[in-house]
Amino acid sequence: MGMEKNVSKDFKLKPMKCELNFLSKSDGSTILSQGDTVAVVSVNGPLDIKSTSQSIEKSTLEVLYCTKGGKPSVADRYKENVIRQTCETAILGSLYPRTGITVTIQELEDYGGLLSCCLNCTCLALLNSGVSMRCVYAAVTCAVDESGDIVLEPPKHQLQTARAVMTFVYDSREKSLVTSFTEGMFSEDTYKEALARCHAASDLIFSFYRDIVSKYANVI
Amino acid sequence: MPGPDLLSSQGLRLDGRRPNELRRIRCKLGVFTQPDGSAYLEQGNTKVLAAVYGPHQASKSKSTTEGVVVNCQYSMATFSTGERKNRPRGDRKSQEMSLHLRQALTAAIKTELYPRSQIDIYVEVLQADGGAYCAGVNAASLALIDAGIPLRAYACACSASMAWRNGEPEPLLDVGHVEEAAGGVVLTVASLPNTGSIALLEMSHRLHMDYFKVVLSRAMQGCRDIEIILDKAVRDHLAEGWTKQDVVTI
Amino acid sequence: MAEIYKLIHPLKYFTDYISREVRPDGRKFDEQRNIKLNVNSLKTAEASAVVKCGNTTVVCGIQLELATPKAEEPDLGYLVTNLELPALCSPKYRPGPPSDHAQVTNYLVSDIITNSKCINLKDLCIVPDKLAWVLYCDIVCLDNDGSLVDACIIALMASLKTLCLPSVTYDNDTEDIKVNADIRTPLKVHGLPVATSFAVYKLPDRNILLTDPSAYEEEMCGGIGANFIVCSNEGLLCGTQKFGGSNLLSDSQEESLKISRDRTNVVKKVIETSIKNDNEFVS
Repeated sequence: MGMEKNVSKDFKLKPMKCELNFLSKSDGSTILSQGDTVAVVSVNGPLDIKSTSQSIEKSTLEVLYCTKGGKPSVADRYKENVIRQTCETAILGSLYPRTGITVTIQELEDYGGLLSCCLNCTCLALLNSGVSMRCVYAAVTCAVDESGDIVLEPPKHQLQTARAVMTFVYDSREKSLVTSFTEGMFSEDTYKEALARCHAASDLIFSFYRDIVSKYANVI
Repeated sequence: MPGPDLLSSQGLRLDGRRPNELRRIRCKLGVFTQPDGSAYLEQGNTKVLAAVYGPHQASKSKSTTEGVVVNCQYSMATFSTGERKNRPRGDRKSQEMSLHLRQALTAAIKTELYPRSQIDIYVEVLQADGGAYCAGVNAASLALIDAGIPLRAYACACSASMAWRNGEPEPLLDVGHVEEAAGGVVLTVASLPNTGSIALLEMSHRLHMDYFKVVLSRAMQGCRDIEIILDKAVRDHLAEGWTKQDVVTI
Repeated sequence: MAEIYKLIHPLKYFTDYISREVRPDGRKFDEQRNIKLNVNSLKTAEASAVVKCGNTTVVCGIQLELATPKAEEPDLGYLVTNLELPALCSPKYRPGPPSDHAQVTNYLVSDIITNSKCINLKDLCIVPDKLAWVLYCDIVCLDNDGSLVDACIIALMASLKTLCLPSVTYDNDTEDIKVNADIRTPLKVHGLPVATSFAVYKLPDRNILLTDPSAYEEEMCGGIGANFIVCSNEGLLCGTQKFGGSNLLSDSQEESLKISRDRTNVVKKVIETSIKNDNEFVS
């Protein structure tokens, strides 16, 4: 289902399309497209894992990020780390001690904002798998272009010329910042403005989540 | 035969030392908080760090009921030599050095006291200027003492080489990088000077049997000298009082 | 007694301190640990620095090599940063290939240096398409007691600031390279990026921001490494990273930006003083 909403503010996000239960074998899976950027996520768990990686307090989260190129790099480790830490704050891991939850992400198309697409897709896949969660979260990417203006969800050509790219992840309960990471240089004021803009935009994603869940309610 | 130019006509070596003189050794125990024991040792321009973790439970595959498993890792920082090293550890030389470290230190540790346990000893060479292995053994010895692990004796290592002066053989103590590179014989001894036993003996290049004894005795003398220095460092460290981490308040 | 209390009730022990507005090591929430810096301490490296932030100890050494630039970027040199977390520096690390955490921290450090644009790679090029410098910046952590990225950036910047490149002449016809190590020019460094780490701890009613957390505090705040890192270069932010831990509200953001501004001044002073002392020592 597509969504394109005009809120009172003068911005809109790229159209999002999503299908839950995209893969038949995994416990939860989602394919999500934000504009032309597409990612598939599958969630398996809670499962039995080998005793060395078990934690007696909470479930162990394992994130695998597969690029189109195939070969994993240090940058992919970083992305895995971002996604894992974000998921860990959302999942109620203490309900599943001594188990493992595996999240596998496959990049399909990258036309800008891939990492935030992966994060949103992971959130929907976790919802789909039925793992207990504390909250849901939404990731928004924005760029600062050459003239210093903030562009939400920039297309790929704008990303290459941008002065800075920032991604923020907000949670649904307190609307507070869960994760953030940036590239490039920017002033403090730009940073604060970007935070506020992305904060407002995250509401659109949360309402998209709500639409999706109500549509698939009988399946989940 | 090693070149005669290792000794000047006045009988001094390339760096100005006398043949039986050690390089200056400076050391400090308990330099870090994270490991159970740690030590820093400088021997001339060779700078090494040693850290000891344990004794802790050994992994199932390694554990023996006979004694503690001593696990050593020798690693050289990529900037430790003039030419950049690509692999700080895992290459053949480092693996060989790790093995040699283990042999020398296992001889010193009272291994029978901790069955089914493991002691990890990590040695990091920050700057290598000859004799990095010897400095590593000496530093590890101090780190083991700082960790409070019972030892039979100090494990000390020293190297010696050979030069000629006026047609007489003259062994050189504590070989530096320049002398090593000049291509002379290098005899490395790790010993427990207190008991007079040798834990490890290694020699590179060729040396006539007749001179072996003199070179060895010079290296052993070096080990005894080093033991005195290490012993003083330990006593000074203890005289300074226990560091904060050693105090357990109950 | 305190030690045993800490073992039996790790969480309560920590919360008891925090709720009394003090951290277990006696610092205030916004107090940093002392920074000790020594430059040019290694003779085998072209430039080097040892830094101690509290107990966190990091050594950085820079070595130079010559190489041909990439065909697609013929006028750029190379800056290679590599962070090493050997098993020596913390009981948490095992010997073997670098852990995920080591790779992520390594990525963060090199990312901050690239984003801050403090080194113009064009300065490292000698002859376009033919010859360029490779700066191998190797950082080794000797003791990891939290806020690792901060210490790495200080060590790296102090080394870069003291680095002098030898002059090189290149003959276009014979492709003959001559390096003259006696004539050296200091490398141009634009600005001084400084990173400030925070840990975010959740009390029932509010979130607490702990500046320059120790390894123990980082662990209590649920993260591997610091939760929130702000990095700025000459008044401009060049990276903010937030992972895990509790969530951040906007007023703590303001606070963190202010603390990082203050820290930038402190670090700048530390680096300048130690480079000055070193110069005096040499002359």
